[in-house]
Amino acid sequence: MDIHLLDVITTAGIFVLVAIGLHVVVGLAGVLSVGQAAFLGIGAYATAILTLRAGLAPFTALLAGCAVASILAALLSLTAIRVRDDYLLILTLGFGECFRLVFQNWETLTGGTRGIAGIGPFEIFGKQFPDGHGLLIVVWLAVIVVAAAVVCLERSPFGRALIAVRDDETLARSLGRTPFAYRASAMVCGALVTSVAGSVLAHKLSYIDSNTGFGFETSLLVFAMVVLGGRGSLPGAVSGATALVFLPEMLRRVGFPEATAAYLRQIIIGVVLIALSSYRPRGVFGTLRFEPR
Amino acid sequence: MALLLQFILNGIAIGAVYALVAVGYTLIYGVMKFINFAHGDVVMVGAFIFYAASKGGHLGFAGALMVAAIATALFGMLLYLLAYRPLRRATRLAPLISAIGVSIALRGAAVWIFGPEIRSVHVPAVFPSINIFGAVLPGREIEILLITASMAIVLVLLLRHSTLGICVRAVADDREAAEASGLRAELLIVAVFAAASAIGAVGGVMVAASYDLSPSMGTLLGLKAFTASVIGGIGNVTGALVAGVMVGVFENLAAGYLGSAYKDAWALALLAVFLLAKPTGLFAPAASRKV
Amino acid sequence: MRPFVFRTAAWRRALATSALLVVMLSASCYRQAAEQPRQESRSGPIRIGSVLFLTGPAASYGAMQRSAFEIGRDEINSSGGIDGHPLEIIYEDSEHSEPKAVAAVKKLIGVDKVPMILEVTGSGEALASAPVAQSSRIVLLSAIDSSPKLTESGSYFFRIMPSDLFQGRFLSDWGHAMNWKKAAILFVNNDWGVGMRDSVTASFTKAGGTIALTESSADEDLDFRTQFAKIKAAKPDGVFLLLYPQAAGRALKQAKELGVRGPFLGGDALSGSEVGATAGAASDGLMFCQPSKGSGPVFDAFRKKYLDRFHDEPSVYSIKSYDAVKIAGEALRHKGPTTEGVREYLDHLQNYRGASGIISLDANGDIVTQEYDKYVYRSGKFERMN
Repeated sequence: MDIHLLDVITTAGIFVLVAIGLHVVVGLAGVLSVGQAAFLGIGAYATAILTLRAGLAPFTALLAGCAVASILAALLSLTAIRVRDDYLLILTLGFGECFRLVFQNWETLTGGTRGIAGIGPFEIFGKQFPDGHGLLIVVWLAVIVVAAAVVCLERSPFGRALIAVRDDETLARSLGRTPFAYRASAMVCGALVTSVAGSVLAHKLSYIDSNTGFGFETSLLVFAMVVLGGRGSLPGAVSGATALVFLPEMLRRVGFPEATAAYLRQIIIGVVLIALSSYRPRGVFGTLRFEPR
Repeated sequence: MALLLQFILNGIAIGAVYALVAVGYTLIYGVMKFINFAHGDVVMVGAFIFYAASKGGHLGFAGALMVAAIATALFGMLLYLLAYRPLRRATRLAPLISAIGVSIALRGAAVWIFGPEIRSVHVPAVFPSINIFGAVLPGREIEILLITASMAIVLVLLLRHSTLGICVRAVADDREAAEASGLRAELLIVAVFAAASAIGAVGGVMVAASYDLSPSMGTLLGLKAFTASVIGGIGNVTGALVAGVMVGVFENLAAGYLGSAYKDAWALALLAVFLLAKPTGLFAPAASRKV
Repeated sequence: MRPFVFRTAAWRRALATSALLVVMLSASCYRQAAEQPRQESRSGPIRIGSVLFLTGPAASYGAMQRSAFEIGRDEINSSGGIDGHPLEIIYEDSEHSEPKAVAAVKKLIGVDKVPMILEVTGSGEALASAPVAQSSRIVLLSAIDSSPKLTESGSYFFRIMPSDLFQGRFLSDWGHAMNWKKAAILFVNNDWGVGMRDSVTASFTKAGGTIALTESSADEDLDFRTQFAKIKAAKPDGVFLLLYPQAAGRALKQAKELGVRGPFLGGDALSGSEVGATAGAASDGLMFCQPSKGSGPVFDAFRKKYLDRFHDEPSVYSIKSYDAVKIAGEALRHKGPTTEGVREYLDHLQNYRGASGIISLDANGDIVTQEYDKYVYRSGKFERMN
């Protein structure tokens, strides 16, 4: 397997992790969020800063990143208490933009646009996993573990309550559930998983800066992965992420580098999202049981 | 003193643009009870139509502005009919997803047609710059303020006193009752969408003429204008206009005295504060709903 | 009991998609295996790779570099190629994104098996790609990346664009020569602007001056009113305008409107034509420096070809790109088109006569020195100062 293929499969794994995280937020909790890339950045920068400047072990830095992401997600969900879906959507956009600005301008912390170079390989229990076969296995093992956890979550009482809150808040409230607590937990879980993906990405690239992809474009792309796959469906989110990562790189392999242009992707994704909403609200793999109004 | 005044003047100039775009969010929310996530990108479309009309079509400022406003109005109607209207009866999240799709597609299309670079349109200023206690108000900003002010006055008067305005307000207040008394709510909504898009387009044109345009300009512009419409009380047109200017001034004062690197973040901070503390805004209409 | 992957329609479809992807993967692997014997045994063209900004922001740089590469490549091929084999360049798009640049580099190395990579545009992209080049032992030769951080990028990374440290020092000395005691800096917040800001500040303060105010602007931002209001209040002797051409043009107009007089001093980016086009009369008096374009026959010949083909003056980026591809040609001829041959050639590159002047590389793979020329704008066009 050549290094390009290794790279694509590893990157796909990383984005599958992000998609699973967003799936918990969008698919299970019904909170539409277009700011998820902020958590990707938090994980990446936490890893970069803590391993290089504080000398922490990579796994510890990863956990620290998760902690920061969780706290921030909890804070974000606070604003969601009194606010409806469409407001919340724009708020998540604002949240994402805020972090992009911080990544870009807080030079002493993040290196700003000059970035942080020299991030070492991922390491756990004393064994290193440099970019290549090793990291690929680590990433996909993580995917399996996280996916299994989410499947268990979906079937657990907590998961069912979460879906109930998503589908009919009033009913859920009348049965004694606190929507805020459920949404907040979902957002924290999503942020956590995405932060892990960010940490791994930092180890893979060994250099990150504010241009690496922690902004609105990436958030929209991940959102599209989850929605096109079918909201409320975990296999859908995984397939969506894998397809959207593989497609441009496979086109590159067979000789159409410019066909991978972002704008073509965007137009196609945008139109498909519009069409799907009208004609197939359940996405490609939909398992949602929304009742129409 | 001159510095403070300069910041305030800069703020009013950009605030006028925020005001126009905020009116769009507020109008659409009023009749549809829905925040059009893609409104900022519609404004971007208007700005690009202006660019194409003045560069390619060689129209003067006034001509290109009219073309942009009318074309964007039509575009807005089309958008409503294709992307939002079919979803009236769908699940509560479907229109939002559609709006996100619209946003993505519009940005991609703009890059495809015009390329991703930032462009500028050279509009010669008709008025001379004036100097107020050491702060400069460039001629072009004066024009922007005049255009915005006149549009604002016309809009508010229309809404308050014309039949059309009363019909729109009726649908905004209580759609079923309005329909019961014979109003064709659907037609009015289409008209409001067109108007919101046109007004937003004028705002976009102001940005293009005075600053720059790029396919991604709609994102931050939309966010800040949305902040203004929240602060002004969502659904309140006068509130949106006033709040737009307020946001512009606040942003410039903060950027001026606290640091210009995070200029865009100040408006976002305002949004967060308001959504946490007072989501109904400063000038909420009398019958304020839980948002 | 059927396993859960077959139970619901959703899982079945997921399985189907995965199967499809596996098929696609195998197909492309097979295609690669069938088509890629090792380079040296072929009698066909010698192919090298290049990762440029073909789409996305800054795509104009990609077009510029590609044009220059093509002139150089055609010259190489019309004078016998690489030991009789024609030179081909495989262009890949990084979309100005580091992860994509890395994927492109890996595709060139792993799939196309190129012996060297001619340029990964963008200092960030180059910083992310250099470790890949190092571990794969494939040379990466950059034409226009200028971040000082690239100096320590391993033994397989070389570049012929001087690090921003040189330019910053030159600008600072120039400011001092004009008796600036107190200066302001307006820079664009990307790795070029930040690098310039740091090296100008360091040099200027070391020589005894003070930087009264440093203001930043976002990469895509063309509104500098706030920054200029503050600069005006600080009353500096001069302003270091570390922006790109279009932004600089707008900035100058706004500065004039607000009554900020300058003088303004900028970097090599200001050779772009948008400065004059956007600022018009407001650009009069703007000064900037450029790496000496070199003079003499090599530069003149290239300039003529560039003008003939593209009807535009070559920018410093085009000139460096041309030099880079010609150097690549020499490196490939040196000991046959192998990566070690290329590396050896570049390790010892001294006194190469390029269109951009004399090029010598140091132990880090950086260009040793660089001369700069001073330019000033008059009536929307710039001319050399003496």
